Amino acid sequence: MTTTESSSVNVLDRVLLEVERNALRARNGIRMAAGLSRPKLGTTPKDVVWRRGRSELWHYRNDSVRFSPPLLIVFSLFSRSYILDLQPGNSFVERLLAAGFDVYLLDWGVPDERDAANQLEDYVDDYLPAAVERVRHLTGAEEINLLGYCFGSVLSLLYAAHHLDAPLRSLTVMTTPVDLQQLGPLTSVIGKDGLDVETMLDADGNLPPQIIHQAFQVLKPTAQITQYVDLWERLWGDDYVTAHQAMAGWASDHIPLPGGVAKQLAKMVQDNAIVNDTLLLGGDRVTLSAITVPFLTVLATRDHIVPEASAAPLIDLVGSPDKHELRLDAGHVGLLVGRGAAKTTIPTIIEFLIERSEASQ
Amino acid sequence: MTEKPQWRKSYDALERALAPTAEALVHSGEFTQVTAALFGIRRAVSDGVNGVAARVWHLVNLPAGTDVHRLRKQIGALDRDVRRLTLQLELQQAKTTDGIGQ
Repeated sequence: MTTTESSSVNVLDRVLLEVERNALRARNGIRMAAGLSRPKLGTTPKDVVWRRGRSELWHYRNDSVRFSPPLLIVFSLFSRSYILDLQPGNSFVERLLAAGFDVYLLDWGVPDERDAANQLEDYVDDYLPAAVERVRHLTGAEEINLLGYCFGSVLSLLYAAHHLDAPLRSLTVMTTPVDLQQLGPLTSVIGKDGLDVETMLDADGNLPPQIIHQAFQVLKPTAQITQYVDLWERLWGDDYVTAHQAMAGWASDHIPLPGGVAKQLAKMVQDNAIVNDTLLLGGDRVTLSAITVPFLTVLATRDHIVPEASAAPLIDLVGSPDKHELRLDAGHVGLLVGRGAAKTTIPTIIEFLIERSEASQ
Repeated sequence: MTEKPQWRKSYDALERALAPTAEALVHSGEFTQVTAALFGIRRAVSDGVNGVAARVWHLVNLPAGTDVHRLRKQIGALDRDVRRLTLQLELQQAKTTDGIGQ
């Protein structure tokens, strides 16, 4: 075959490939628009074992628990917890279960006007201790391993620091904002010269999810357009479309933030209260140096929601003699979802937990 | 790995050129001021509309949406107090049971 003939065949192949892909794009586009291809999320079997207000404690079923004590995961107040159990084969919870842990998750539910006055103390001093007691009661364990994600990490840290007798075997936190003045535009909008949080609250007294969504979107102004460009480019791939729908769906699926917590957070940002050690809970000064349990912090260097600069001071603030930091080249969600998470983050967390657990009887 | 199509390379180049400017804009003090002003306007408009609507409903002796919201928030605050007391009681009971069990 001559060079000219070979190049004509290549061009023809490429044209045929594009035609085929455009047909698949049209098919997947119609499916997406008609809502026919919504992936099932958070499908790992679980039972609700405790419920107060909108909050629920979930116990994931596991017939092969090999380690004790149980693991309690505390989720954020800003978004939905199914990111931890996204899809079969791409689920943080699934990996923890497969590793032999007895996994519980504290999901805060969707706040309504009954939660508008909720303060951090409600979560740190009431819900969390009650959920920990419930896990201990159900399992008969003396202690638990606690793991927090994003703002759930802040709640877990405050719980550990404010309840020094908390029955914790270890504490693991992921993407934890501690230097609150390093949170980018979020900080400036509610910082000293910014606006009064009261003006942002909805009629139900909570910070509406649309504002939270917009606040996160503005952190990377071109990201949403790029996301659509990526989608168009790979709309022909069924696996990509499913993963995109799962991820993009979660990223825009925020929940209202209780107004009371929003106002406290604004004050915490203005004072940079965690780093400056000026945080008060229920009238008590809470200092992270009081935490002495084995500790692991995981942070992502490309995290645009909790930038590295905001999470990095944590390791020095915590007083634990047995403390570790895992810093990964990933984004906020990439720590939990996808190939990087499967290869590095999750195995490291599992190893940390196994070293601080014993074989289950 | 397949090579990126030309249109995608062009988009990436454009995005790389524009992203730093866009990010600098949202990090600027002006952006904060404009956002604050927009929220202020939104709040003022919404308060104004709600105020007019409330006056209309009150003229015919009916509660307005704002009255219902206020009431729901008051009930919500009461609900929160009961919830917190329940949680604290539950915790105390669990600790007492543990103490007896030991």
